[in-house]
Amino acid sequence: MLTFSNICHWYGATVVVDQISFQVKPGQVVALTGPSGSGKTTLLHIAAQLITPAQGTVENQFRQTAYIFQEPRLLPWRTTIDNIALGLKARRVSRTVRQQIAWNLAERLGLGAAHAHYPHQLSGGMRQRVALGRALAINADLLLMDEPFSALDVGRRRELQDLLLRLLAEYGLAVLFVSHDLAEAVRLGDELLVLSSAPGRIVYRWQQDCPPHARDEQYIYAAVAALLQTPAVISSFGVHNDHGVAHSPKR
Amino acid sequence: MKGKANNGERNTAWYARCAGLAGIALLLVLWHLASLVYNPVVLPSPWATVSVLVTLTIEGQVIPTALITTAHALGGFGLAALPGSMLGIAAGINLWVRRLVWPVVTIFQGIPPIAWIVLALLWFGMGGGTPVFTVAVATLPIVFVGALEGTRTVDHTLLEMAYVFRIPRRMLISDIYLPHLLSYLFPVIIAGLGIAWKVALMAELLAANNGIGARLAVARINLDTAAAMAWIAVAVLLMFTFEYVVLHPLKRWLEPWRQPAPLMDMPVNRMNHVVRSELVR
Repeated sequence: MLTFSNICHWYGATVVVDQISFQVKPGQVVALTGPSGSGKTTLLHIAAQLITPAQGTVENQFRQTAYIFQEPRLLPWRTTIDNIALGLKARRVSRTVRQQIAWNLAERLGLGAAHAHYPHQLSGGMRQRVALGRALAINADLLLMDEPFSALDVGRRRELQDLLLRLLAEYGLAVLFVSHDLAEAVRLGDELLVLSSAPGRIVYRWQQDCPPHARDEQYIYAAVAALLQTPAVISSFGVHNDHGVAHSPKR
Repeated sequence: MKGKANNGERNTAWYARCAGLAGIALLLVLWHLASLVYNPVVLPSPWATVSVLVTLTIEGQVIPTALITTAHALGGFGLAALPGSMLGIAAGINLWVRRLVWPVVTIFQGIPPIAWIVLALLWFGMGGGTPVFTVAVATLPIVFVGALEGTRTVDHTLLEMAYVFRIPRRMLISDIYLPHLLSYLFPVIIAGLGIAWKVALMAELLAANNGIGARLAVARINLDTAAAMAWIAVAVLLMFTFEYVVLHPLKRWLEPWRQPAPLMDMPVNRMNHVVRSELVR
């Protein structure tokens, strides 16, 4: 269980997140969504202990926490296998064992042919798969993800989302992830937390009953449309009601 | 299909090599034509130069002399490399070391090697000490700057990743800092060695009684232009040999991740197919 209790954080005089409380239960996927400046990434950094919150407490009872960044952040001088095995090496797993684990994961992630390649020889989608493999290798039970697919094109993003859903079901991982894409949040998340911007507050919580495998395109479109008609979400994302289109007055 | 692509690449490499050889051949032809016009004391023919080179080799002069110059260049560079990189790393880590050392290094960088040779002559006299010292002081700033930049530019996003994955300090050094530093130092070492050979030759010419530079000095006194040309050829061959026999294999061995390689063949078609079939469904 990951528990955020009354978390506040500020940089200088700017309050970034205000009075944030929520839980991630084992096996649950929680999506943090909201416009830019709503402190989504700050919350994720707090969960990863990269930032100590100015106020409030975070309790992480998960055994092992892994992180997937927006960029792959692979070591350029290590091959696919060695990058996947990085966390295992840090945990002093013997070379043969960690190579075996990394090999199996690489196969699972469709990286078998690229096992000896260096990151610069891989495409963006493949690099992000290596990052996913690195997170899964340490046998984490909580995965923190910061818009991990936002740099990919639509097709590749869909493919990785599907792959991730299969892996989540298989490993029974809990996930806390950040996305500004409501469709992605609905597709992956069991619970959606919508944040307002500056300061970030949870303005809307939505627990969806539909299981991941049943969330087809139609369901997702309907769910996103429903969310975008909720007053709290409208004000958070700054969507104008007239035409249902985001409106930016000054450019 | 892959084989075809490889063949194409191989052909391109082959043509490129041929073009390079053609350029050298053209230079030799022009040299030969010019040598027909000028007095051999001004410009001996390529063939006269080669015959002197062969004679010198048979007499057993070339290899020992080349080894002495190599020793001067590598010895001097070796003396500079260790303190230079240590100082650079220290300056990269600590702001006060950087503030203290940077101006001194800038001054050293501004002193031309020829000025160092004059000083070295006064301090060490004729002999091996002068070229070694001159090479060391001329290359130290280059190594220093390379190590400093390498230490300062470690990617903080990788360090953040390392923190999240609980990577211990020992592994931070072996898996992140060192490979990154090496990637900065390697080009610096190649550039530094290039300078080391040239400075060594210059110092030998003015202040040593052995080495390729000293032989050039003798050739000049005897007005033996063919011998001078032959020794220049030895110097060029020596540098090329070192670069292609030592440095390039060393780089391939130390930095396999820097080697240019074709992007992975992505199964794009298969993936598009997956996405499309899902959309249809």
